[in-house]
Amino acid sequence: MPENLLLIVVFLPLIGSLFVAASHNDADGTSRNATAVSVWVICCNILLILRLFSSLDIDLNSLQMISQMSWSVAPGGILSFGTDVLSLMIILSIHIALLMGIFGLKDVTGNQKGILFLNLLFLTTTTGFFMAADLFTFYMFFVLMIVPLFMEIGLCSGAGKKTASRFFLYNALGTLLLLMPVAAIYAMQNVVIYIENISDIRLPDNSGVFIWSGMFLAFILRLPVWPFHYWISSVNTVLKNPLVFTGVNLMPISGLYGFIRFWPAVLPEEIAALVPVFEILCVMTMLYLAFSGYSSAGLRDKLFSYIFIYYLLYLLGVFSPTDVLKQNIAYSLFAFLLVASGMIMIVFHVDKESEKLQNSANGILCLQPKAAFSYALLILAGVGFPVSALFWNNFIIVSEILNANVCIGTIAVFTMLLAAVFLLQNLYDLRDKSCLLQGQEKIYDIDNLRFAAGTIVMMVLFLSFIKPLWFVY
Amino acid sequence: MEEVLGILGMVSLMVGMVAVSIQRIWGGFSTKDYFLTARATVIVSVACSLLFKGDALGVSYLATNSQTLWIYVFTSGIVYIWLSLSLKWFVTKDLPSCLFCFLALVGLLSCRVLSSTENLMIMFASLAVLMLINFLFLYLSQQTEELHNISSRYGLSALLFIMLAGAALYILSPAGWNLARAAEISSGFGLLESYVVIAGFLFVFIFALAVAPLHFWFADATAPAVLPVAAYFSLVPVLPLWTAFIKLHHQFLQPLMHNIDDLYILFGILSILAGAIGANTSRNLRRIFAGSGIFHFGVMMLALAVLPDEALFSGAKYIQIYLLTMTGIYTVFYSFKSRGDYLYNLNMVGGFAKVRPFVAGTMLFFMASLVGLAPLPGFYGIWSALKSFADVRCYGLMAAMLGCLMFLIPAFLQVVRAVCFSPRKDNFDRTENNIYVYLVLITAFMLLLICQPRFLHIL
Repeated sequence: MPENLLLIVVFLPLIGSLFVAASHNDADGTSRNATAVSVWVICCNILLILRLFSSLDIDLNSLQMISQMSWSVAPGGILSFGTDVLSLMIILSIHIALLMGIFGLKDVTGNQKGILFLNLLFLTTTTGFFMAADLFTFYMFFVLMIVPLFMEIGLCSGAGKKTASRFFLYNALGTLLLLMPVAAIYAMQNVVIYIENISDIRLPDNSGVFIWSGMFLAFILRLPVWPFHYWISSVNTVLKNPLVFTGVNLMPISGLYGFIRFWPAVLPEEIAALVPVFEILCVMTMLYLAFSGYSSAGLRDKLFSYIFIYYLLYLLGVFSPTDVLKQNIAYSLFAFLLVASGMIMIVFHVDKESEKLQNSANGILCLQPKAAFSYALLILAGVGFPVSALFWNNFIIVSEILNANVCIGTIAVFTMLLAAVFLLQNLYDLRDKSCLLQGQEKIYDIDNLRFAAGTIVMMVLFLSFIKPLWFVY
Repeated sequence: MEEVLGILGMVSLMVGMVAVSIQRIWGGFSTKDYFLTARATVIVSVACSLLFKGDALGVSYLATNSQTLWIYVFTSGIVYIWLSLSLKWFVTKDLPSCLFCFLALVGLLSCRVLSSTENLMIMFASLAVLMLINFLFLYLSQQTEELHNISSRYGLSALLFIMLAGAALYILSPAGWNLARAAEISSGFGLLESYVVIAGFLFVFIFALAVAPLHFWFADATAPAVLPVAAYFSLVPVLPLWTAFIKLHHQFLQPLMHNIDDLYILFGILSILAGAIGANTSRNLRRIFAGSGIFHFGVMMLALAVLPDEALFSGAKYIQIYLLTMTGIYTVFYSFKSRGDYLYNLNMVGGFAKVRPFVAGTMLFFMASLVGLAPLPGFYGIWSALKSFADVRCYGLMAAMLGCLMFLIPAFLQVVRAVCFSPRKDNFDRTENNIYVYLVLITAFMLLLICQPRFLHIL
């Protein structure tokens, strides 16, 4: 039964997307039907995921509930799905993040139905990716997830149409780089290869470097590490749709997840020797992001910098020579994604309303008490105040990084501090009443739904701080 | 009796040709009548071929087996769709369609003979007929100076390669025309004679298949030609030509020249490069997809070089999936119409997705399959080719193929941007119902292939 549930969780959004495609727009051009279908599908899936948690042995450190689908093209003739605490936590947080992205759509005009249709397709492919149990299924969903997002970016980016192409090209390069090692591995062993058993494969001497380099580059292209960062920064600057922005900012998790699954287990010495170089690249990128976030005036730019500093922190955690961090990364990532998506939802609203102001956005939160409350709590949780799961788990991750390399760890802590400073400074500016001028247009606060969503997220974060898996019954 | 019944499929095509000619002589028939006769002929021919299978005219001339039969059914299906879609062009332009339908039936007959023959003379006669039809289509549809020049260039080049093949046939002499014995007889030739024989047979096919370095005519001819002619070049003769070439390679070229694989690799790499570069240098939709075609033909050449003998014919599946996808793409092209004219440039189709979302969606689906996106059918071909290269540790070939695929993707992204993301620039004509029907059928067939790839085994 749980095995079937796994497949339902993967394919329910796909079925939902067909309903969204078939739904009619309202007379005023809005897509209330499509929105309702999307929200219901995601909520149902969240409930099913919580049900899956109850069937999971949380102490077992391997993929469980392995479910198989027959597909003759796949090596071994099957596609396998499975899950563990790490993947289920990520899937749950992605569902909640996209749900909040949909709530944020209220301020956006344009082809909402198309975006919601593609968003559910994206959710199917992402869920499939994180539940993939074998290498071939992993590769298939790794490729598939870029297509709906590319279309979403293209539909919303307006004049910046090349942004969508850039996004696709960078990610397509990553998928082709992954395809080479996958084909090479299956040419050696034409059987089902479970991703957790990948270290058991005996590779000929000269193949190891080729295979692991391909995989490494494929995953790193999904992450904003210099010099592979350009696609993500260019996409984030043009997007004005919170749902698509959330989707784009979820993409790097696929690269991170690839590293978590493959990295610690096996590495030929030639690649392992390069780890310090990549660590240096990571911290340099973190530093760059922290300073650019600090100097930037735009709300979204600061948010972008904050999100990617934390992604790179998790990547450093994966690079650290220990396997014990996996669980902490899962808990921290869950809390982090909730915080980030809540912030995206509010920032996009504030950003849109601030266009009505004659000068800067400073002081705008004085006119938006609900947004101010939610945003303040989310920032406090996001910068590491001990009110959420982010605090404890990041503490452990950072201490492991410091333990492995003091210099790298110190720079990482410094960038986190800088991120905290620019977020708190931004909060202060937005609440600075002295900057408000009289005679402005009416500024709207966030609606009750978004306020409720923000409050629920805070409650979830607080409960996760007390017990990470409090929802498992 | 069985032999006579076995050729009923071909005889019905000849009867169809005669019927079209009689319609022309008697007069009073409309454009639609010619097309109706031609399509009915195709259906009758396929029905006869399916009902009365068996060796036709003995194994030494035309051998029908389940593979050649399937290739004929597949090609006939494409011809049927192509004829149905092309009718509108003739009706709109109010042009006589008798010769067009007649040539279509001759082309189909040549394809049937080409894919099932076991005799080199018959193979090259049917190949020459196919080249003649290509030339006639170009020559008769010439509306511009450019097309006139292209048809002349094509005619002269085709003549040169046919003469080269003729010389090879002459050297072989009738005793060596039987494909099964040709390699054995040729092995006794001197070095010069052997090279002439190999070059004669190889280059005429390389030219007809549009494999680099003899690919130039394919994009040049499809881009400016009228849509029905461009569709013919891209869809109809491709599969029979590849089937015949695989047979020639397996039974004759490879046994005669063991290191011919190196030549294939060279041609293959040139093709994938030329295809990817060619697709990116144009804003003409047909030229972009012609470039994609050359790329796929290059992959096919690379696969022929590394596939083991027993898996050679599985390479034909790659071409079948490619053709199925291209049939879908050309069906979409028939819906790119404004004020009665078919649109062929990316600037003209801006915002098409906003008015015809279903058609644009299917086009995206077909393009995703062409670039080998998993799990779409196009991926099976790319995956098989990559695994074949990996089997023999040709990592360089893998990298070259994927690198060129990466170069091809921007060309397709141009198309997506124009069709889906650009603002609407023109009013598009109503899409005919038969276009929707064919798109639904092709998409359903491809979805069936995704869900049940075992279905590919009958391909």
